[in-house]
Amino acid sequence: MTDKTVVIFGSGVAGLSAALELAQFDISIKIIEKSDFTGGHAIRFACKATDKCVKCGACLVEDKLDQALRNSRIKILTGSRIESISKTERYAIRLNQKPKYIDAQKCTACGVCLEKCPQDGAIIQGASRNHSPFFAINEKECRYLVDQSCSQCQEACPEKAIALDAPAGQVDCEADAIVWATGFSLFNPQNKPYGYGVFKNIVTNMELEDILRREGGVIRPSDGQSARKIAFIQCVGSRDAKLDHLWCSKICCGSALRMAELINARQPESEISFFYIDVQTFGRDFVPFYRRVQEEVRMIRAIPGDIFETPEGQLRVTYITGETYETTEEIFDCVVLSVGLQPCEENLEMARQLNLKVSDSGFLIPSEIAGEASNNGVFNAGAVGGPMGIAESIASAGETSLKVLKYIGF
Amino acid sequence: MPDSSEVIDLACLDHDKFKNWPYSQGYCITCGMCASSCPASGIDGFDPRKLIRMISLGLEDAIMESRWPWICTMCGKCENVCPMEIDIADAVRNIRALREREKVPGILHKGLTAALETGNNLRLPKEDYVFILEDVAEEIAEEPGFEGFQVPIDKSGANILTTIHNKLVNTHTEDLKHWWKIFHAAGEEWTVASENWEGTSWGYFTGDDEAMKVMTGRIYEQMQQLDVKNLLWPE
Amino acid sequence: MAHLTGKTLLIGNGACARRIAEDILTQTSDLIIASTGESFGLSTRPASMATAEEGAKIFTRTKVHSCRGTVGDFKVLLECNGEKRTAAVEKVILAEDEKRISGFSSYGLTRTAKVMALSQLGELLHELSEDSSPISGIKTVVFLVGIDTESNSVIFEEIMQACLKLQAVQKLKIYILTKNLKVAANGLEKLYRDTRDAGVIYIKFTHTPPDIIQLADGSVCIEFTDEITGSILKLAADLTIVEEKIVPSDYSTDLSRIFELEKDLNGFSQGDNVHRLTVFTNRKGILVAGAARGVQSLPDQFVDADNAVLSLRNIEKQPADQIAGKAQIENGKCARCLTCYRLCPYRAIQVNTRVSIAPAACEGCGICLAECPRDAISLVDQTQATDSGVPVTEVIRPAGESFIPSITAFCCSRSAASAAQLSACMGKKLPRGYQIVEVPCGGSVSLSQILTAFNSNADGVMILTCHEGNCHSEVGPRHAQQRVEQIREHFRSIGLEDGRLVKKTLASNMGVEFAGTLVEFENQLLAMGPIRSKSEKE
Repeated sequence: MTDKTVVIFGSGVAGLSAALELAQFDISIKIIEKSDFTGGHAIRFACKATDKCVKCGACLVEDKLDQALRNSRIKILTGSRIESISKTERYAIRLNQKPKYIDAQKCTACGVCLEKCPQDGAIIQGASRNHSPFFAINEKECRYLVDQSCSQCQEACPEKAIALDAPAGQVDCEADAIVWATGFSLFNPQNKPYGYGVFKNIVTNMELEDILRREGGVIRPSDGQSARKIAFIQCVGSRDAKLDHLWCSKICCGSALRMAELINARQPESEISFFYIDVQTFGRDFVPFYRRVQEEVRMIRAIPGDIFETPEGQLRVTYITGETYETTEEIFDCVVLSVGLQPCEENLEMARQLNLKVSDSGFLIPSEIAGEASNNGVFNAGAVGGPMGIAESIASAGETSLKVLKYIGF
Repeated sequence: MPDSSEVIDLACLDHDKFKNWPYSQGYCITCGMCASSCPASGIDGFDPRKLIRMISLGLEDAIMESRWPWICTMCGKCENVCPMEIDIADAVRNIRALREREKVPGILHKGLTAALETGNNLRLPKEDYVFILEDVAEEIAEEPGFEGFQVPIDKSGANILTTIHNKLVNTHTEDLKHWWKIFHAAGEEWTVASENWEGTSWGYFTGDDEAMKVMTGRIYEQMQQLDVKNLLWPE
Repeated sequence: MAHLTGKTLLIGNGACARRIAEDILTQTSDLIIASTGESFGLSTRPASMATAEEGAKIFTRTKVHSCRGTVGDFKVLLECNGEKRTAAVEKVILAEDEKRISGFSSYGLTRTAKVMALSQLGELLHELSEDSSPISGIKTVVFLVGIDTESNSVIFEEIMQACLKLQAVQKLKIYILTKNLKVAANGLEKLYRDTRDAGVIYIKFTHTPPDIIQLADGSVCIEFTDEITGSILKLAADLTIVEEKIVPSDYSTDLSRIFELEKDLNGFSQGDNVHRLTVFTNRKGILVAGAARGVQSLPDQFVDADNAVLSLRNIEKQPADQIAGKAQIENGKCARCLTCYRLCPYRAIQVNTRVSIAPAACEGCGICLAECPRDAISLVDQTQATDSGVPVTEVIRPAGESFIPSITAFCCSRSAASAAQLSACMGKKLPRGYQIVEVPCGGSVSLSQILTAFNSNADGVMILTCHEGNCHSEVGPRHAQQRVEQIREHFRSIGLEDGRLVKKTLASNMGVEFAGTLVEFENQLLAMGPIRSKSEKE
């Protein structure tokens, strides 16, 4: 191995891709992940193939995570947040590590902890076979951590893998260069007039991915029944001057229409409506795909106004119809809000600390574009720089990896 | 409403006609959220998205002649949801202002003219108005707990001056009682004016800024004359 | 086999190719450039690079004629004006420029002075910086895009930028007629607003397209119903700009054939397979970047260029002599039938005096193995279930118990095997009597492997491959399907239920579906009963 180390913040598809590229050059790589689970957002995506691959790229994230874990030059630290970063010749990074409440060596993913846990959301489940342990404790919800009032999971675990008293840790590391691959956060649509967070059967596109991955089909969160009439509402939180989100999030048309096709194949009795402003082009086979999907999905070129809940937990959606210019009310079992990608809250703070440039949209700008000749060894990769899908994130990570190699003199 | 069989030549339109209106109307992406939220969408084929489109295209004649701008209740729901921050209700008002006053629909202009001439939309004489108020006050005074109730008219130095919607002294006099009782129970120092009491500003509604200034000015004068610091104008 | 270092052949024209060349030349002069243009056009650079360029060989007006060999050892025949030369290179990068096809015919228009394609407008706009007379007399400009066939953000960005340039010269009435606004690229939403500020009017169609007529003087007249107001509008355009479709150049198409590359459905030189991202092809050592790879904006082409340079360096990092997991031919058994040569999706098989597999180019998919009629191929260091080696584990059926179907599932390691593990994590219910045989590709399961599985008492056999279009070898699922159908036909002819052999597709993240597929198969087998009756066995 060479004596060079690169630290990558973020274990999403961009971070993993950059790690795999740089590891080829005998560079020691540390991936720092703030959450309990690796793989970022995309590791939770469902495969959208019917029998043919639709090129969503979700499996690639799984692949890359696999490869990264098996690569001896790459070390991944989860539950780790930055305490401080300073630079002399190299970067000195101090990380605060979340306590290892669940021992990865002992956990068998049996799920008894989740079964026994009385608090909604206190134990969260991973998405990938590479999530080890497969469960994690949410410090904000866990009753033991809040007021020591419950330790059922610890008692119930047959492998004695849970230690609610585990101590937090601190880790120091050094880096010759840093890759900032912290990705995006999702827009929270609770302030839109759709009842998100209030009506159970309104979900975001990300939550739908979770449902599809867990269940193989669309079930209504309210009662676990199969959803028949499903509505997708596009551009929620994107293309929105009021929110200062003057961008298209790029991935939602593809994600929603591919999910629609999948749902149609799995649940042929379903009726899917797609409320949109403009359909974006995605994938090399967009023209035949779009032609096909228009036969299967009802395309409505208007975004709905109000949504109310019926006594049966269904959703009454109001929208204007193109042909007759009348507003119509229609009942759906489930409404999916395609929420936009937005910058992470921490971006501004980290940008300040690391002297990174932030565009007016809040995403990070590579320093060469901002006009500086060479930065001080911190590089962006992936969606931290703007909304992008899996393929674009991988390409971005490749571009960044080349920059890193040049910077450290390879 | 544009005659659907008539073909409009875009060469004859000046798309910059309304460019200087400050309502961000140029940024419309025709998402339809306004139309989907509007409670009046569908009436005679109206929806707010159409109006913004007509402004963008500079369809001046069609917009001035159309009934659509007058169907809007200016509730503002459209503005609330519009992702491009278009001030749709304000734009509607401006469209209304384009029309010659005589062509302002129905009772709106008649009522406004009446208000400018007499101080209220109904041309209700002062004695009749006062009589109605005192009549209602007597009915309240008969109710248990409200003995001795009186309606304060032109009470100088009161804390609150309220305007009155003309229907409250016409067809819906019973509705006066609700807020009067609340004031009484709260021990509030309130008053109504004997003249220029009209709260329904059709100057605002018809996009007539001059008329609106006059009517608002009169209420302000009342406040000054009666030495009242607070105004309750439930419009 | 010599260690892989050294020469790269860059085939291309245009900005992406130039960027790749400039980047490579900062590190090494070991570069051959073959360009069809009059000149390649490297920009001036610091003196240190100039020396490097001396070592580089740049051939203009040159085309590739043919290519033999594999990564580390390509022999490319270049041709220039009838003169031929051979380039012995280790890696190849294709970075050709795009071609544009104008959409006149889809709008029923012909090119005239008043109707032009988008690229022609581009040229016109260059002239405008000197002198605005080309557009004097023009009041109304119409852009037709994405009405017949959906367009894309690259074309859209060009159109919007063109509008801003036009309005800066002379205030015109500009209309963009389209179906869907394409804004799914950086900065396009803001660019849309800028064009609105500049007075551009957008007319969007959903179901009913406009009526477009070309008049005798070559200009265009359009009549349509505005979908928002319902008004019928008419428009006479002094100048009409018609969209273009971005396609691979004819030479790119030739190169795909010469280098035996997979293409996508639009003809670009990269298969539509996520495993090829970012700049890879089905052939190790041959990369494709920029406009040759797909419809890309210039910034995205530059990202490709960086990825290509990075991947070049990566290829050098991989030891050429690593043979573990790769296929090898036992020469004593090989009959030179060339079946493997024809089938190899990676073109990793060389035919010289002997038929051999180049380890550096081999991906270890095992398809050749499965098809070799002489069993002459094996994977090195793999305890692979082959028909000559260790067979599928014999399933012992416990006596006296009610029928538990024994299922042998051949699982592609990239997809189904991973899905199996996810399934276990998620705690999904699985059949009681199944076993997994992990294989490098669904297409590597041979006919005799399948039959061996049945001979070892499996009541049912599954081949679980990647989805079509997701297979790393691209062709694996199709081979699996063919073999399954062959055996099913045999089964039918001998009176055995053909439903005992199935092929299904999965991805690595389909934990629920893995379990569902197995359980469904178990139920089918329960209905069919054991493959041989107990008495027959005894």
